[in-house]
Amino acid sequence: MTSMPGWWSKARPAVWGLALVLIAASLWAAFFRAPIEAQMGIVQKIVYIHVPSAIATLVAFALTFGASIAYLATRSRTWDEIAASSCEVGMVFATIVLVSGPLWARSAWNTWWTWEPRLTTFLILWILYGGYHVVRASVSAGSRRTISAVLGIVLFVNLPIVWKSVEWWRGSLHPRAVTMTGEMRQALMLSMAAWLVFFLAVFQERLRLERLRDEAEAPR
Amino acid sequence: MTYAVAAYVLAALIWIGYLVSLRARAARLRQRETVTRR
Repeated sequence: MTSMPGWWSKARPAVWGLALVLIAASLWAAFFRAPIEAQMGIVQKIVYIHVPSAIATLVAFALTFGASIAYLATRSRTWDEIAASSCEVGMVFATIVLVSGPLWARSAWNTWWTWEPRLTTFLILWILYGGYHVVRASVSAGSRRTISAVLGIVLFVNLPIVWKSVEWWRGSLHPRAVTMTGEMRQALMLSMAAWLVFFLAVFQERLRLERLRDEAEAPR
Repeated sequence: MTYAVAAYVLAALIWIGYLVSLRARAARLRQRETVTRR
């Protein structure tokens, strides 16, 4: 793969439009359609941004993993651009998870932060993927793509650890399963769809930037 | 209520900041490209 297909660029406005419509609909569903949770009250509304952002983080880092393997197999710069772009957008989603989580925890658990398994493993994930960008910016252009790809593969080990942390370690405050009413579940599903489409829209923008950078750094 | 609103406002600010940074970085690269071509 030497470049993205033509439909990819043409779809940009449509993807942005769909993302904004879905986000507006998901906010309406979260705040006006889904009922207020009986025990936690209105602070539970954070779930509609916290959980979709966490899922988008995992999707972004999984894409980095897949594209890193594809880069090492093909040595096509497009796969490297996809891996780096997806990783950066994933970092923004992960930051939102780490910002919205403590706001919820303060109300639900009466603390901003606690070293329970899911929080700890997610923080480690955020720091390590932050390291991916530090390393990528530090190494020479000649070895940057290969080192980034190796990191993109190795760091993926963290994802199942975060996912399974509530089962593997005791003392987790995150619930293994959540009971929701039908309207709450619908609002959560809509929010997930909205933020995943938004991920795609931002990822397209970040990919364009990476392509511009590659072209600017290419020898003339 | 305050925490819920704060979470959404902070998320919006993070995304706005990130998207502005994307535009700024793209503009800087385009400018550098133009200068190099001259």
